Amino acid sequence: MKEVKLSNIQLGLLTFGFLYGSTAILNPAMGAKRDAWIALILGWFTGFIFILGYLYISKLNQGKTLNEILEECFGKVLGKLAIAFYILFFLYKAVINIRGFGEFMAIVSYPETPLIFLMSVFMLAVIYVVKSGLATIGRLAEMLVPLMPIPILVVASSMVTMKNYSGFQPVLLEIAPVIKGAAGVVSTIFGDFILFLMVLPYTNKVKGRFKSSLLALMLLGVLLMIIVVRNLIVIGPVLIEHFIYAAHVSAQLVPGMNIDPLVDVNLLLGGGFKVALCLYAVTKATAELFKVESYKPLVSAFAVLAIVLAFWIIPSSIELRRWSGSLSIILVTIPAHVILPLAMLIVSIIKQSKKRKNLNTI
Amino acid sequence: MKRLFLFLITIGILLTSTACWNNRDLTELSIATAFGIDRTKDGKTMVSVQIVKPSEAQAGGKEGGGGSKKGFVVVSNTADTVFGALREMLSKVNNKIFYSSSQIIVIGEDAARDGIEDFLDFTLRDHETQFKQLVIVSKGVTAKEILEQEYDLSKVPGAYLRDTVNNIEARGFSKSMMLIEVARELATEGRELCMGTVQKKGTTTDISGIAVFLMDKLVGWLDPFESRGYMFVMGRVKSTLLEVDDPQKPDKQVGIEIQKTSSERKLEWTKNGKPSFTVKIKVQGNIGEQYGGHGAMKETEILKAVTESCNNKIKREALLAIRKCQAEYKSDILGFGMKVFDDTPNYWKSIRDKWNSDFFPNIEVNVEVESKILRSGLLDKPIEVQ
Repeated sequence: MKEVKLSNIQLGLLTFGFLYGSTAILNPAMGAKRDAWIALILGWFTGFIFILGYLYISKLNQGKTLNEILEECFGKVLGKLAIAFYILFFLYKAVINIRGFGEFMAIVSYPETPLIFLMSVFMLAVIYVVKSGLATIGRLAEMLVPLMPIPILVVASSMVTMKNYSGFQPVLLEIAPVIKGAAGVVSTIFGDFILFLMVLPYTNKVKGRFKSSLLALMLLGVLLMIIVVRNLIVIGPVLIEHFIYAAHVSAQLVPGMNIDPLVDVNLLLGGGFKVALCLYAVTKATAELFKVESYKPLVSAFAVLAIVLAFWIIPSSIELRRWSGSLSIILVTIPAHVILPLAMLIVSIIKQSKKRKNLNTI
Repeated sequence: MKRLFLFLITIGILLTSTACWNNRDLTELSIATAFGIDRTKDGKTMVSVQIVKPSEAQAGGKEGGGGSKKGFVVVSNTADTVFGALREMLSKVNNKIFYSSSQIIVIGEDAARDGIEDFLDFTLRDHETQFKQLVIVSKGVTAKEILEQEYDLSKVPGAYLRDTVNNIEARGFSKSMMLIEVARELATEGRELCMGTVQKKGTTTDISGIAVFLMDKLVGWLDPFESRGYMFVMGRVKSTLLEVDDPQKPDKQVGIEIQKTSSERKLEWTKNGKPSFTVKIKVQGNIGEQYGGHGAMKETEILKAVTESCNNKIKREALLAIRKCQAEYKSDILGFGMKVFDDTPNYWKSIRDKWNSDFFPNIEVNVEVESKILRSGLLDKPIEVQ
């Protein structure tokens, strides 16, 4: 058993903060325009199934991290290859999120501040948190995540009086964007829960895991629904795809006050959890892969690597935007979110049943 | 030792990174309160910015002769683009111009007739401009002249103009539009843009009437009463004063204060497969003023007659607005096309290019009004002069 202990409440809140992360910045499923809410519900249900699957994998391989599960399922060589793939995948997630949040700050609030400075400051906090360990991240989640829904609810409730908006009709004019939007929701939000296979072994109780994760998922779904519907009502389906940061625009439109900085802080909190956990997973998996005693010395190195990659892979904000709107961003996650977990699940189930048979014959 | 070091670093960061990179003090900024956009004859864009002089705007008339000084300056510059004009304005203004405080954008008539699409992009794209600021079209004068207007009651004309536009809520004779709404109406299918107008009248400005656009180009105006008709049809009237004939003495008037309105529209298909609309307007109001009506009629009869004439008046104004848009401007600012789109997306696809020119002018629109008069203020009936 591992020494760090997370309580179930911390796990649930961490799930919430992590999954909420980037969604608040880029309006989820906005490609589907007025059908975004349908896309969200579709993605939510699919995400539910995905996360149940991931939790089940963890349950079958009690107390094992992603690395150990992969090695046990696919053997030494293939398993190590799979681990390397996952390290790259989490690194990619970290990179795209850092760049995303950096661009957000640069576009919305600090256009003349050098991006490298914004990202470094952001990264310094993340490095500190990750180095302090999972327990710190958990406690941080306990402190900060409960604050996150508040600005959203404030903005949403102030919109109740808004009168003239273009409605949600006609529903489902085109099916393809809705499905793409739903797939986008799964690939950028719910599918990333696979990362929690690195975290789940460190919870102190096996029992409440399903409950707390799924509860967080439910709450998140409701919150995302509020965000999507609010953005649709406030900005309108015709304009929504023209604004890069719909949440920021909705916050600006609250009558009588300037609440947008509060919402921006909210986005940074979510982004912090997302990047911190990605960095944690990358370093932890690397340390385990190369049998390094502790992952902590690797954190700063990988953080710098992530920043460099963020500049190298994504040359401009327009490129980032094109990438997040394309089909490739969905396709690239399929091996990590669907194929490998499915293989893990099947192998684990077979092994489990064999074990049981062996037990019976003995 | 290490802790102390960390502590010092933390304090250092806290103290030095309290502002953004390009931190500027308030005294180093020119605070803009209003924008004006005009089109010059050679097709260039003239941008005017109203900049307040903080000392003048604050001191008011207290220091003797200080009162006669203007509290603001209007600077304008001409260039190919809005942003270009604003940047080059720094050749005339010492401090960088701060846009976030701008309250209103005035679009000159010529600029509006040429199309406003080009001007909107900068205002939506820039991170300093506010989506909440109001947009209005100047009628008969350039935007610059509107910005240069001084007001006796306020030293900050931008805010004064904004408040006057917000007063539309109590009048209903024009339409107040936020920047984001302008963008939305421009981008919405089956609905054309329209917004409030400002004119110069005597020594002050006057906000009433609506400017009608087709696509992004100004095509004409609605007068104040037609504008109110439009606002009734859209259900946007918050409050207004309706004057109707006194049932007992037709030469005298009764003022009805409308307090609550709502509007609903229904799409029906005629026998030859064309859309027709029924607009149902519901209003509630009080009797606010009655000019000497004494006669034999009972209160209930008066109420009935006044309600009836209320219905007729609103209906007449609404139809005036609809007919004018149909016949004269051929521009569906009422958003009937949107309803067709909602109901029959496939049919809409086949007609959307011809909607404004061929279909909208010929659709049948019925207006039904249901008014309710609830109270009559402190008086039961007018006092009698004897």
